[in-house]
Amino acid sequence: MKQFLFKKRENRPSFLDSVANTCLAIAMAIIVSIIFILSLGENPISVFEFIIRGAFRNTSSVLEILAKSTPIIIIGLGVSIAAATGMTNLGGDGQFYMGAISAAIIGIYLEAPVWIVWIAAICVSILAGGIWGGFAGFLRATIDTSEVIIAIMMNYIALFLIGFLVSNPLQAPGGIPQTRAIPQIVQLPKLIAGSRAHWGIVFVALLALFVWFVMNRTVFGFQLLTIGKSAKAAQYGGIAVKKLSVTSMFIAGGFAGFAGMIEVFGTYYRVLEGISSSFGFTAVMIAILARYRPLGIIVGSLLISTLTVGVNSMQIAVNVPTSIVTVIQSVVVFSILVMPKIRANFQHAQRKRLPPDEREES
Amino acid sequence: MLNPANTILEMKGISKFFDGKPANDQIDLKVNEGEIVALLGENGAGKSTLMNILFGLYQADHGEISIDGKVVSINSPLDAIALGIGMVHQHFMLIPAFDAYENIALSISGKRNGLVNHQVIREQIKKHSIQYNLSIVLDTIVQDLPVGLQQQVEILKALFGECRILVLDEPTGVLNEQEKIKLFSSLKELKAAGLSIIFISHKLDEVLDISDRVVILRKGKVVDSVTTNRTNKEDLACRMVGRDVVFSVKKGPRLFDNKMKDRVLEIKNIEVHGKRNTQTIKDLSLTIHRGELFGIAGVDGNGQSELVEALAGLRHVTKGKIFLNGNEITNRSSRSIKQMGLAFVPEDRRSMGTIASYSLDQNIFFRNSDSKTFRKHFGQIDKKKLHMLGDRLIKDYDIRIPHRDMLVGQLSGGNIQKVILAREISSDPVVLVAMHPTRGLDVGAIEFIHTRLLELLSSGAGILLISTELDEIISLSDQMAVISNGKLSRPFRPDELSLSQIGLLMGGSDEEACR
Repeated sequence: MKQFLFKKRENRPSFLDSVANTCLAIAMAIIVSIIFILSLGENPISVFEFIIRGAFRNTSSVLEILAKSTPIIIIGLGVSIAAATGMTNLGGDGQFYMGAISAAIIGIYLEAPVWIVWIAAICVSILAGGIWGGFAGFLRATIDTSEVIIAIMMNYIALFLIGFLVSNPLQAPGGIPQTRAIPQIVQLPKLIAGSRAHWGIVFVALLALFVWFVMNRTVFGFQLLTIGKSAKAAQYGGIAVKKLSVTSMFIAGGFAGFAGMIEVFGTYYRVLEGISSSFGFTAVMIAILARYRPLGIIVGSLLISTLTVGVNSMQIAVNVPTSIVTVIQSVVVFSILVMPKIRANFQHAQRKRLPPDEREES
Repeated sequence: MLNPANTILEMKGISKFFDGKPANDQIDLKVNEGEIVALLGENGAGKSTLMNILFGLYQADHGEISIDGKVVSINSPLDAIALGIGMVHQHFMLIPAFDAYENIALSISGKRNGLVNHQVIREQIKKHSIQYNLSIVLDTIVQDLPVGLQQQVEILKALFGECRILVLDEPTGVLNEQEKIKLFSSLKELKAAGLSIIFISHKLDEVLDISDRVVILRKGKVVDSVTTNRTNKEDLACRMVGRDVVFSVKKGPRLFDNKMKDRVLEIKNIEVHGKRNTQTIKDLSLTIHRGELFGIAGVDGNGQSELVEALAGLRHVTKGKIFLNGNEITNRSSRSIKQMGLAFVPEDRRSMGTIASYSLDQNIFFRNSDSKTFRKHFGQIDKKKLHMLGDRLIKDYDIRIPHRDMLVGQLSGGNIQKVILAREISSDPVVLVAMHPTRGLDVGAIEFIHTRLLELLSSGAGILLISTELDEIISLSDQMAVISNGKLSRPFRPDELSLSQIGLLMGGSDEEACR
């Protein structure tokens, strides 16, 4: 039966093309990091060996990778939903903070059965992150400001708000700028006792499946994608362009807020300054690299987390700073974003010259 | 009379093809020194293409251009400017946030190794503007200038770089009467100073007023070249609209005659503002009955887009009311207007009517995405049902699609239009608004679409057909009107007025003048 006609892949650059681009990017990243390592007077092969060994040295390091990738995957999934309508959610960090602090407040002060606390914390964190993201989307839809700039500004507002809250009204006794811990009973159980990985990662897998389903199977996902393809056509098609654009940013923010709740309830049990180590930006990067596909976002986040965990343990053995992760990440992003354009330009130059208006279209 | 030996520009045998169709077909054009030549023609006649070739924006497929008798090759606007050709585009190429001075300086600073001597340029601009009677306030931000003055900035910009041939593409389209008078007096000054001017227009009065010679283009060919003082409006109108296609589709007997008086669409005195926030549509009314096709003829850009967008709920109506089947639809959302039975074939079939990177099924669905018909549990899309509808439309509308997964953007223009038409008609509309449904299509596709429109009429729907193809309007309409400057003429039967009378209406004359 030929029923499944909505072949999404047909609408995107061919599979081989994206594989080629990704391989090219990774190759470039390896070359640049080899140069970087050589310039520090170390042996690149042994450094890479330390990174890989460090990442997979034992069960706990593997679980550490899972724990590290959890918030990035959740925020990345949200980014992919905003991207469907053509919005870029660079406000992941601010939304994450808002979700984290509101979830922490519920966790600390709400005295109720565990599952009620959980549900309340999830709802409140989604709402807080969603409002933070939705506001940027709302301004874009109504007065056409850049949602990117607004979201980045909102990041700072959230950052300083949290800084104020954890060092003043919500500060735990002891002088460290952090909130009190949530009661042990409401903390998310660990996958394996003693590790950092918690049951949140299972949520994440389900969430990714859900996002895939919504974007590929449902009317709602189709409407979002249509707006991203052409807002003009979507409006003609009777799709509520403004409302859904704002909604997509609200969902993206809600996801980031939820990630904040998961981190508070699963990993830190409290909010402290610097709880997000630019998860938001990393998530955007990974989502772009994954071309907004949920599976790609999971794989990409796991890769980056592996790298981070490996580098952290490598640093102990070799004199190479952890900033090598940033170098590798940046080169990968740079090549993924730039390479296809360069290749396209190259192919274009070989084609016959077109009149200017057609050139713009192609 | 000017000495014909002083030919400054000669374009010979210029041809330009887009998608295998000629936009310019063996065009010859001569321009003498100190002469104003008007290029007259309807939309799509090839005027702008020809001038874009002259200005280096396009390259001709055949033919040659010579200046002062020497063959030149113009590969970019920079080449054109170096050869003394200046162009003022229909849509201004100014940077709105810069002031007038900066906009002009911008176009010349490149020649000075990146260093700008503001004093010198300022002096030059002043000299030019006094010489040609152009009034420019140099320090005003361009977006705050009235349109007429923006145009003067454009002209002044074009005059720099030793301009000898000035091309003006529909310069009066955006101007009011006073600005137009001012422009014409400037043009006469320029002409007296020895400049040659090519003036693109479709407005007969202006052409007669300003030009020395009129070159008439139709369907990519030069039809005629006449000295202005030896011609008149009727003559020009007739030559401009012409008539050479005999349509094979004829109106058959209608099941619904107008005696039934069921008004399916009623537009009452609406006012719709255009993009520049000028009043584009003024006090427009029309009525369409069941089974009636109402045609609106006119040159593009006279308010047609604004009208259909207002009808489809995509543009705000500031005054007046619109009724569909007796229910008011003024300023309702495009979704509810669609659901109330107004189908719409938009003019831009590739970027609005369809989504190029969607399949056929998806292109049918994006216009029906709220319909319960294609919705399963959990908000899922019923792809099976959609596929069946797609199959049916492919068969009924003879859509040539190699395989079902193919993206619609890869189809030919005719097939894309069939997809849109199939989708819109299959929604069983009360009224179909179709804008340029056959533009750029081959004869076979045109005939097919006309047949479908007539079939829809016999099922009792009303159709509002907007087209720049006069032949199409005349052969299909029960009632027609001409739109010009946002105003609709009184409705008339296609056989009521002669071709030249209609041409006059299209050229902006009022109806008394046509009698």
